[in-house]
Amino acid sequence: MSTQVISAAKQMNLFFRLQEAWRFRNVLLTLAGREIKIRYKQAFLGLLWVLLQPLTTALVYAVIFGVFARFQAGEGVPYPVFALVGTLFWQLFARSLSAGSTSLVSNAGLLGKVYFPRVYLLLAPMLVAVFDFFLAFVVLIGGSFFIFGLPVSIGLLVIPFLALWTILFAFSLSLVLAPLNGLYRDVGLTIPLLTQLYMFATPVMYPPSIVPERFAWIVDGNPAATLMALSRWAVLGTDCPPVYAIALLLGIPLFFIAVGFRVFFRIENTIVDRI
Amino acid sequence: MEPVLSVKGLGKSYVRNRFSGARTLGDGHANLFSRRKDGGGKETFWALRDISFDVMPGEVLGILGSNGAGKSTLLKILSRITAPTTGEAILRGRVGSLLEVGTGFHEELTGRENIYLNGTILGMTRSEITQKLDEIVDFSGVAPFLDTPVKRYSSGMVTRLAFAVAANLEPEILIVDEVLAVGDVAFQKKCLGKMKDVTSEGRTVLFVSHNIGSVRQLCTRGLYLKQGELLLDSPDIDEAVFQYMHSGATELAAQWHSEPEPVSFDCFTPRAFYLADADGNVLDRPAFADEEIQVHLEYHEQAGSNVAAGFEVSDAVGNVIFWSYNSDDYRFAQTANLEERHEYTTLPVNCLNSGEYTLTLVAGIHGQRSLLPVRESTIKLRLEVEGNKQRATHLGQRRASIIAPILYWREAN
Repeated sequence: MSTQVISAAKQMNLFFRLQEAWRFRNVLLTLAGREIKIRYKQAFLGLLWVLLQPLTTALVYAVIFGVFARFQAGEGVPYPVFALVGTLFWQLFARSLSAGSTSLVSNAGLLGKVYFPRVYLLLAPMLVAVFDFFLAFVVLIGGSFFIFGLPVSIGLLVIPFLALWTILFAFSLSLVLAPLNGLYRDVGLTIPLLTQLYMFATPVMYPPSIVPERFAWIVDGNPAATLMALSRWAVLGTDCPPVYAIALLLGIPLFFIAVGFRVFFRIENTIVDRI
Repeated sequence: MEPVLSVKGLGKSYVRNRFSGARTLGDGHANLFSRRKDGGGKETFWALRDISFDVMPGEVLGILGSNGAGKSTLLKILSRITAPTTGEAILRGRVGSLLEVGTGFHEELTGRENIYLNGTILGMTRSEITQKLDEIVDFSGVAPFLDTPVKRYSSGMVTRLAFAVAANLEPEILIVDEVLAVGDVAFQKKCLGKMKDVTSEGRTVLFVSHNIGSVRQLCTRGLYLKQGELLLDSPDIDEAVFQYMHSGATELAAQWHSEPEPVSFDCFTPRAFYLADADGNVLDRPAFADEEIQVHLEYHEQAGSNVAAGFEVSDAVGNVIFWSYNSDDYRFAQTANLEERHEYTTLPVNCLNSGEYTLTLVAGIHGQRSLLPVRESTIKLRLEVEGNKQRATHLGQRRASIIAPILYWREAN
């Protein structure tokens, strides 16, 4: 028989939280499964949407930037594939961030009825996003390798880690944004706007080479930009970002996670009263 | 034996914004940026204050209190929906909770999918749920709609399904908040039966309902909360029910006295009008339908005026149940020419339904004139009838009728 202590006095320590998370592990899978089911329940095209979204976006970028503006993605790098890799990773990040940061509010009904580790509400949609990502990645990148006759490199093995790091970054930000959105709906309204601005600041649709030298530090200091550069390096063999940029990519999400958990754990037990 | 639930000094406060419901930064920025120690614009409101009690396995705890007493807050804390501000609670065992309607169901998912979703969240494994699936579906009666999205369900079906999942989880502690309010009578009975089964297996139930009948029928112990404080923790559920019912007393009381100002209606001057128990003591509590309730009347009448005094009994919605005059009963021979009189009668036992009644004093002289017509009479008593001690258990709830007489049944031969 399990004993639970509900207490105002002591904050649950990390060990206890991990224990709880393990005990409720089924909930995460069920919640993620629920998201997938709901999404395809009434959508006629079903899984096809997962492919269409990045594909159309990348095609638009390829036409505007590759054909009209004649940006060079690199020696022997087809612009459509370059844009596709960026789009896939960006959409993974943007979807995770948007779903994660609004998850507490959109699941307020569930919050008020049953207990489980609240952090699973943030993680569940990200699992779905990463599931979709891999599906789209295999089909679309595989297809474009075939079409453009690109060489398959060993670097592709890094992709799963990059994808996980992408949702980790989104998760670290959501830890702060999700409770904040519960308190102030402005946060949820602002996130799409900020995400869009962030996309323009990140070389998603354009190559980093067009950024003037004196602004290069902005790109290098931006974890999302480093993720883009690393993913293109892995798929297309473009330039690898500098070491200090990679160090920042590793460090910044971890820092946000540390801060985010402190905020989240403080607020998760009573957030339901304030949503 | 160890208590399955120990609550120690539990309290919960909310900070209420005077700017009610800060929803955007614009509304709330005053608080956000001016973190004044006096909490400018904020007030602290204690929904629960210093609650302590222990519950042993197999106990069925009825939690009583009017709206806003803190019942739901208490259950929410025990279900870990929200954290307490002070104190702690130790729960030994799995908790299944059913807070209001539609526990965590998702509209787009089918009944079956929701059973799995809900069951997992409540702490079951998939195989456990599969084992219980038939029982759950059977109990909820939604079998034909099992693969239909829950959004097409009626609210009753949703509740039935939610109750079925929570109750079949076999929790050590089952927390049920006001769910019976929605279901139909047949389902309510089924739920009560299920909860009885649960308790007979030695599990513990915490039950909140405004349906006093089912609380009295089911619970072995009562907690009475008022404005966040635990006023009474009684091993006698009836005592807790009395406390609760009594607290809601309106301006009408169980007794009326003419002091300090005597009122007179022609030759009739009432002195006192009150309800009493079988021993003649003033009845300042709800009464059982099967107990003897006396109605006493003290009055002065002009010698030889032949006043007939009595009362009208009406229910809470204004139905006139019956009238009674002291002249109705031919066996009652009044002492002639007595001026100060004290008479009483007994209300019919096992006749009134559960509910609130008003007794209005009336008087007149038969065949001549009315002295105190019912429309003008302000001399009224309040009578609360609540349940029936001897009645068969399945009659715990209020009958959907004006009166609820218990008739005498016997074999025909």
